[in-house]
Order: sequence, then C-alpha cells, then structure tokens
Amino acid sequence: MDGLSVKIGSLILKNPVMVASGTFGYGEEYAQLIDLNELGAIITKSITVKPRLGNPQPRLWETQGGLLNSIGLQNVGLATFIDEKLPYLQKYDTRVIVSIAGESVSEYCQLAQALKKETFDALEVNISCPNVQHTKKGLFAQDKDLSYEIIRKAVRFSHKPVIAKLTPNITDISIIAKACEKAGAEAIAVVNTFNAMAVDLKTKKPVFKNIVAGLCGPAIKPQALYKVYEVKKAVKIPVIGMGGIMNLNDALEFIITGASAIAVGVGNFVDPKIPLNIINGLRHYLKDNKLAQVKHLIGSMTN
Amino acid sequence: MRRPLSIHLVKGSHLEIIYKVVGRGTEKLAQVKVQEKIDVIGPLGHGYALTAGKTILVGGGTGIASLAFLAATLKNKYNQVPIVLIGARNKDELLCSEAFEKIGCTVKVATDDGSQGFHGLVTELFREMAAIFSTHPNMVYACGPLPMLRELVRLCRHFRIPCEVSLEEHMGCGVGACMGCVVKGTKGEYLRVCKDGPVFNANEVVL
Repeated sequence: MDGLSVKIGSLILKNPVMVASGTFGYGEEYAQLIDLNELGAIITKSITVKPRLGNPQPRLWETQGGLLNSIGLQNVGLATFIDEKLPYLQKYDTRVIVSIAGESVSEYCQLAQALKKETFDALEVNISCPNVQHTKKGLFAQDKDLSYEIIRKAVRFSHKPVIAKLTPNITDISIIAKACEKAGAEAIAVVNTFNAMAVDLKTKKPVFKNIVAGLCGPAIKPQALYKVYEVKKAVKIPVIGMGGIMNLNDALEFIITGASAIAVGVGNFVDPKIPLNIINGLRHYLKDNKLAQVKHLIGSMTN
Repeated sequence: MRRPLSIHLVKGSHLEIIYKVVGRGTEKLAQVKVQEKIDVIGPLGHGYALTAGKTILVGGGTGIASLAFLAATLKNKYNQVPIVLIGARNKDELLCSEAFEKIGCTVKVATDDGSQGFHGLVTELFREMAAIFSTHPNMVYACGPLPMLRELVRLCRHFRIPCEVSLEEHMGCGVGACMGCVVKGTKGEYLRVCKDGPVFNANEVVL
C-alpha cells in the first residue's frame, strides 16, 4: 500500500483523485491518453432519463484563468448509458461513480431505480447544473426541501452510496449540505460551477443564449475552497472537493481544508495528465514529509 | 486551454502548422522560441475522406492551410493533383499559394478587393467555374470562415457535387468528452467538431 487510500462513506478509493463529471465524458474518450486504472474514481457525465440534445452553440468561452460553459447536459440518455457506456467503464480497475440529473423529483427516482441492478460504485446526484431548467425558482440545490427529497429518494431507490453535488450559487451552502446529510447522502461534492456570463463586444449580445453559464477553472479555486470549508464545518460526512484544481498544491489545499477526495475538472482539458501528476505528487509528498497516510492530511488545517 | 490547429504539411518528421494570432492563446504560441518544447495532443478527430479523380480544394483565410496536406496526400495516393481555389481579403493576406504550386496544383486566387486574381469572393469564383465544368469534380473539400462554407455547400448542392467541410469551434477537451464544440447535425442532434469532425460531409451538418 502506498498510503493513498481514502474512504468516502462506505466507498474505498485507492487514491483520492477523481475526474469531475462533465469533463471526462464516459471515460473512453480519455483512455488513449491516460491509464484510467490509475484514477481513484471516474465520475461520468450526468445521465438523464432521455438523451439530451444540449444547448445551442456557443457552449464554451475562455476567460482569464477560467472557462465558461453552457453545455446543457448533452448526454446519451439512461438506456444507451447502461447498454454501451457503463460496460466499458466496468473493465477498468477504478471506482465508477455514475452522475445523474433529473428534470423532476420523479426523474431522479426513475434514474436511481433503473441503475439499481447495474454494477458501479456510487451515485452522484447532480442537483446543481446551472445550464438547464430545474424549477421556476431556481436550481434544486438552492432549495433545501427539494434537495432533501431528491437525495432521500435517490438513497432509497439506488442502494448505492449517494453523493450530493451542490451549487455554490447560494447564500449559505451549509443549509443544503445538512439537508443532504440528513437525507442519507454518504458524501457531498463541492462544488458545481459558479453562475457567470460574458458579452460579445462585436454584437453587444450575451455570448450564451441562456445568458448565464457556469464558470470553472483556476479562477474559481479560492471560492470553491471556501465552500469546502463551509460544508466541512457543517456536516460529518466526507466532502469531495473540486473547482479549478490544476496541480498537487491545489489538491493539498482542498485536502487540508477538509476534502477527503478531490476531482479535477477543466484541468483535464488543459492537460489530461494532471490527475495522474497529482497522484504521483501525493506519493512523493507523503514520502518527503514522512507521512504514512494521505488520510491523515484530511482536514488537518490549523488556525 | 489548448488550441485546436490543423496540420499544414508533413515534411519528414516535421509537422507544419499555420495559424493567425487572434487572442492570448495564439499570441503565447507565437512567442515560443526555436527548439523550445511544447506539449501537443494529436492528431485528433476525422480528416478528409480521400477521393480519386478530379477534386477541388476551396480555402478561405487561414483555413487554406489545412488543405495543403490533403493536396499532397491526394497526389501521393492517386497521382492526381486537385484544383485549388484560395480566397483572401487582399493579396497581402493571401496564404499558401506557393505550397500548392510546389505540389503541382493549379491555383486560382480570389481577393475581396481584387488586388490579386479574381475580384470577389472565392465562392463566386467557384460558381463561375462550376457553371462551365466539362466534367464535375468527384469532391469539393473546403475549409474557411462559416459564411464561405455555407455558400459553398449551397452551390455544391445546386451543382450536385459532393462536398466535405472542415469546421472550427472553440474546443474544450479535444477528445469528444466535454460536448463543448458542437455543430448541429442534419438529424437534429449535435455533433462534436473535435471527435465526429472537424471534417464533415456537407450532408451531415447544418451550417
């Protein structure tokens, strides 16, 4: 053992480095570039009941240190995912976390139930995509009762460890985190993208048809880190930290703040080797600092 | 973020790329010094489907750059050189005509201001030529700005000439994972420019 193993609820990972939903497709897209067996876990693109076309172009806009996206959950849909995408991922020696996104509470139930008998390791319940319509009032993850209800039902129907993925676009994220913990989530993924926008100066129009898009990348890292801090203070279940992690130091900051695992998102686009570099970096960090286990670093921040 | 760039020519173990400095990314790339190492992923996606017989290449702006490697490949494979139409704003912005002549292609130039060759758009030049073809080409290959591709695809449909277009989009991952660089397909679905393209048959996409 190399001391990298961590526990996320009942889920044991060989190392704390995951790839974030939406940035890694269904894994197969990256298999030619990196060895997927090295990863702690792969979180799939969020799956919806029916295939989703996604939003019109443009969907991406690079900003200073960040990337705006408005993909709109384009995915193959539940049936094709189960028939074609999941079997591919099962061949690898890594944890497979299936991300789901519903348009209503009952769709989350339907997704969780349909996936119940499939082989994978955990369910990420994405209640925080900023690029699709949730309710008239906003995102599911901006409403503690809806968050509770969706997570509660996902836990009941899926029989898999449930991870709730939260939005940072809320005054007090700890309220939602607590609701998800109470509903039976085994971990909280912190965070989805930040609401943001851009204007095309040639046309004086918003770049994105929805106006709002999600900002990710290094630009949001300090904000994402603070959300991890807030959630960690509020709940006892593990936190998975993500938001602009590009290297070992970024990952360490999240872990020391309290993340039991981290996920690389837009970093995969910049350099697909970043997750593996972080894993190797952690190995060296433990050795250089004479630490036996990475888990001893989790939440080791002092003030 | 990485930048998607096409291969201009392959010379032994060297790849040539031609790009225009349009923003911070390409500006940084332009500052790279000789012998400096850069990280490259590729080649990615689908290239042009090679076709024997008479072919026409139509390029506008920096889009013309990607067609030289195609011309060289067609020549090597079928011992037949394509006719090349190059569009540019003016003669100073005209690119690659020598590269195509070196391959042995017949090159025709169109400039917006008439400073060299045909006075007008490259698609207008194509339309004039297509109207008097003795034999229709087996394929038109095109790369350039979207309005040029749109008009060219329209003309190819009119003259019933098969056409392939190479598209540009802002890209995220480059490997088909992020669904960021899409184009609307004719069946209503969104196709990934990085993975399903960047070269598409004109019948597959709505431009």
